[in-house]
Amino acid sequence: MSEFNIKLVPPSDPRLYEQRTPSYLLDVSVLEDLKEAIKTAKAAPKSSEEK
Amino acid sequence: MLFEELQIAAVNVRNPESLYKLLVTDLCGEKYFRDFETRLKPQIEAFISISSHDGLNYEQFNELLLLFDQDRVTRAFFDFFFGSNGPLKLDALPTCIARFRGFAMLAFGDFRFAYKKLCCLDADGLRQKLGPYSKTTEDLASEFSSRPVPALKIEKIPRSETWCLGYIAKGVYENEATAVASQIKESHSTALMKQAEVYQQLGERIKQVEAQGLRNTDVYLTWDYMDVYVATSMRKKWEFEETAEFVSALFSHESIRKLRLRYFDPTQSQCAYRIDKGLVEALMLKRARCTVYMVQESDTMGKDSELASTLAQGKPVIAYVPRIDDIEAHAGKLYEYPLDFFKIRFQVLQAEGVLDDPKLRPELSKIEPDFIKFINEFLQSMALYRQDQPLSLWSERDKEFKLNSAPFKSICKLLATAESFNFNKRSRTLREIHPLSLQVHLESGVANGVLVVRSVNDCAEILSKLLTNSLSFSIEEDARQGCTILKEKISQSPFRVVTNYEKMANSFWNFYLRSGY
Repeated sequence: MSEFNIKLVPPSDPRLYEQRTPSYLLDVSVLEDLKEAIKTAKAAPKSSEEK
Repeated sequence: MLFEELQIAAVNVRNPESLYKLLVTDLCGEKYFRDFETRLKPQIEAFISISSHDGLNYEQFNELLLLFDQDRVTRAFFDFFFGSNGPLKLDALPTCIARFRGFAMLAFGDFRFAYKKLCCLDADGLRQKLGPYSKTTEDLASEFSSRPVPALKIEKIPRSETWCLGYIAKGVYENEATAVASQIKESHSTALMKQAEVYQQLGERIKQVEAQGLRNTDVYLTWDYMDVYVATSMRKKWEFEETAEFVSALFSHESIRKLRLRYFDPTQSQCAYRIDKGLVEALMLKRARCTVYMVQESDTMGKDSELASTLAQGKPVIAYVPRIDDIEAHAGKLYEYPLDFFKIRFQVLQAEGVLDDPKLRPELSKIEPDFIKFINEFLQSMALYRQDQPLSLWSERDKEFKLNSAPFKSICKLLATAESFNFNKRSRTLREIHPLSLQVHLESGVANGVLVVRSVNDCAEILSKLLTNSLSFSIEEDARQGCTILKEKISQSPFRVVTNYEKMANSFWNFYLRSGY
């Protein structure tokens, strides 16, 4: 069982050529999604367990 | 450029028959020639007498060649190979002939063909045929050092952030950042939120470094000069860092700095698309005078193609194979590497049979008697840890694992020992074993060999000498391999060869010389 229950799908494999977009640049949507998730999480009320 | 040929240096030039063979076979490159005729002996002795005392002037040298049924040479040829400082002394003849043979190997790959082509040329023709090799060291050093600085400079990306330009490394980031984003939608624990923010900062930094890399590529494209291309394989973070460290050490070396070289550093360049990246690198390879090829833990199609492309253009390749002499120090360096490095390297070394090599096993056994079991147990404990903590870019947590893992220092030492052995083996393969460490210049047909070095110092020295025509070579008959080798002295690598396999040579030149070279 993972510490945070994080599962990497697909696994963190170096042979990711075929799994990426044609661009060599960072997929900014990944960063935007992360920022949005952080913002939402911060705005959400915390349970006692999470505190 | 200095050339030494012991076999020729040992010739007794005062013996008429030896002198005849020296000029006919070693200078003129004849393989099938008339046996020495004793009736010529008194006439040859006359030449020997003149050249021993006053030296042979240009005209007398040609008279000697005609006596031996060989083509005369031009004044430019005589001055270039036999010196323009007065008549040719007999004792200097072997050195001058070795000089001609060295240039013949460099530019033609064949002695007879070189002689026939060069003996009739004027100074301009010689310069054209000998190309970059015809310039003097003084002229080249002066050309390099008086170059203007570029108008646009590279914005230096620090070593620790160069991996942000990596296509595959970025894939790892995207994968892990997506997993973190998904998880914090379900759980908002402080530790997880902290990690999410680390990934957010990392993503922002990747964007900034990418922008720098894109600007740097534009700068490389504007530069008037491009001297050196660095061929490397960079997939993993540590590969970016190793390359950045090597490039920095090489080009800040004293012997290189004074030349004001311009080089393409792949750790500083970014393209938006794979097509552009391939084309930019192809252009840099075309423009650069030579390539420095980094032999790393693994080699890839990209890097090997760059080596082949350079050799096929008739340009030199210097291959840097790290030499690990201080195992303890290298183990200390490896301690800082990401955990995944250990997993991959041990698995590769095991799969390639390196860990089973009878020459390496005793060394590894001194560190851990049952080293295979020891390594496998470590990899299992790492796998368990990765199940708990799958984020490979979370280096802080990996540091804790290393600290809490009792055998980790021994693991580093085992890997350092195995890598040292492996690099030694690969160096030997490249220098002495692999047939494609010599590849043919597609225009001239000349076989072009990779110069293998084991230290940054040697790499800097050889690069500096290469670009200023001041390398030293020995010309050696290699009966074991059936050829004559032009061996570079620092690297002890074959730079050019002339084969004794006459049928192949004849067929080879029949096809190559049709190109009109």
